[in-house]
Amino acid sequence: MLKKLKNHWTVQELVVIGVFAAAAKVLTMFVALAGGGMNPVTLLLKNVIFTTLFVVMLFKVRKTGTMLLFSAVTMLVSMMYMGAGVASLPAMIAAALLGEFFIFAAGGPGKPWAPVIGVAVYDLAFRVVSVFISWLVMRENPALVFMVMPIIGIGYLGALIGLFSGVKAVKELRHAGIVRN
Amino acid sequence: MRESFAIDGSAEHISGGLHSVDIRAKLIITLAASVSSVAISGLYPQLMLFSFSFLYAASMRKVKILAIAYAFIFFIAALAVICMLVINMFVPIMKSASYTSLVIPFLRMATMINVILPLAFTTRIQSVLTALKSLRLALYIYLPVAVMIRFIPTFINDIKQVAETAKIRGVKITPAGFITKPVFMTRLLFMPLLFRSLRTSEELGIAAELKGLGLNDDMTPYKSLEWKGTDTRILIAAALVIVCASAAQIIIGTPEGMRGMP
Repeated sequence: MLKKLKNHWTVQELVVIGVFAAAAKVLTMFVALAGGGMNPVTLLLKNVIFTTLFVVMLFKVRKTGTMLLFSAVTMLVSMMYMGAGVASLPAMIAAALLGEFFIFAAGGPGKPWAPVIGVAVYDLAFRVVSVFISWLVMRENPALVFMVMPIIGIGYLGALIGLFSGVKAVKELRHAGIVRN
Repeated sequence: MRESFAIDGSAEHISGGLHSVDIRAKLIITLAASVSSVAISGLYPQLMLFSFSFLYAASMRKVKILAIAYAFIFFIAALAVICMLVINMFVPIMKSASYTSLVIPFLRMATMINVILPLAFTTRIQSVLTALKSLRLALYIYLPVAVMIRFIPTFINDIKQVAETAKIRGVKITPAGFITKPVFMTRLLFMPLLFRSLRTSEELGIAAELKGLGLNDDMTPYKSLEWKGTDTRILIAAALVIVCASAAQIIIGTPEGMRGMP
């Protein structure tokens, strides 16, 4: 099984996953800093960019488990840099597993709309599980969790827009011959 | 390989204190403290976890960083109190929400920050990568992580280059621009970077294959990690604190005055 997994992704595909994880991290951080924290416009943009990159990456590396690996790598590096994201690790892994299941249910990563469906499920599941974890941490005062709901809603709206911009970017890249399959 | 941005360049030369503790011990402490602080809900056990984690954070000898982190916690706490005030004013069903019930979530947050800061500020990225390798992580985990860490500074430079190119074309990338013309600004910044990411990944992928990466599992680390007696003692101390806090949770639990809080 492990030997099979070892040869599941080529070195080139692993590099694509690493480069896109770096691009997603830097670009979202840049937009967040440019917007100055809790700005709804940049909050929306941040999610648009992340989802677009995620969709493009899944179209470039069309293999089962790519979403899970991308999430694991992103979280691992976030934890290394600032220790951030320890609390959101279970949410991200659970969301990635669910996303992978939906990609599989949609006919596998090779099908035209499967990566988009997977990312849509991932975005929704990540937010739902994150809210649950927030409630777990803040359970003595659940009112605070309700206060962050609009922020999460804006973030999800950005993710939904990102699905469309992702598909559009893939079309452009395919036209340019960069995304071939 | 470049070390973390979070670490001062002189960190390599600092020895003693938490700098000499093995990264694996720090990772175990961070994980154990995070899980136990979420699981425990009593005031006294939380105070116990917070006090010991504060001592742990203080031993990294970075007063300024600790002060900034605590200023941030107080800012968030003040924001939470204002939020509570707004909730109590406009949502009658939340009237019973008590301000004192904010104490435990913020103690939890402070404990987590106390264990996260030493991990971030006393560890070099190279050590983390060596630790990952020592955990016998597979190439499919290790390679994307190494690529990601290596390319974060490169992408920061790419963003600067794209911003300069936009400037030459007469467009200035400013925070105000992201608010007034978000779609235009995103496209201007995003599309060149997307193309560049794909080109970089193709070039790097070919280079990695040509260098035979992934063909040989036995790689010699630049610096090997060494587990010392101090690391074992720190782990035992951390385990004792968690056991004591859990025992206090079972025996004392939540004080009478704070019971029945929403």
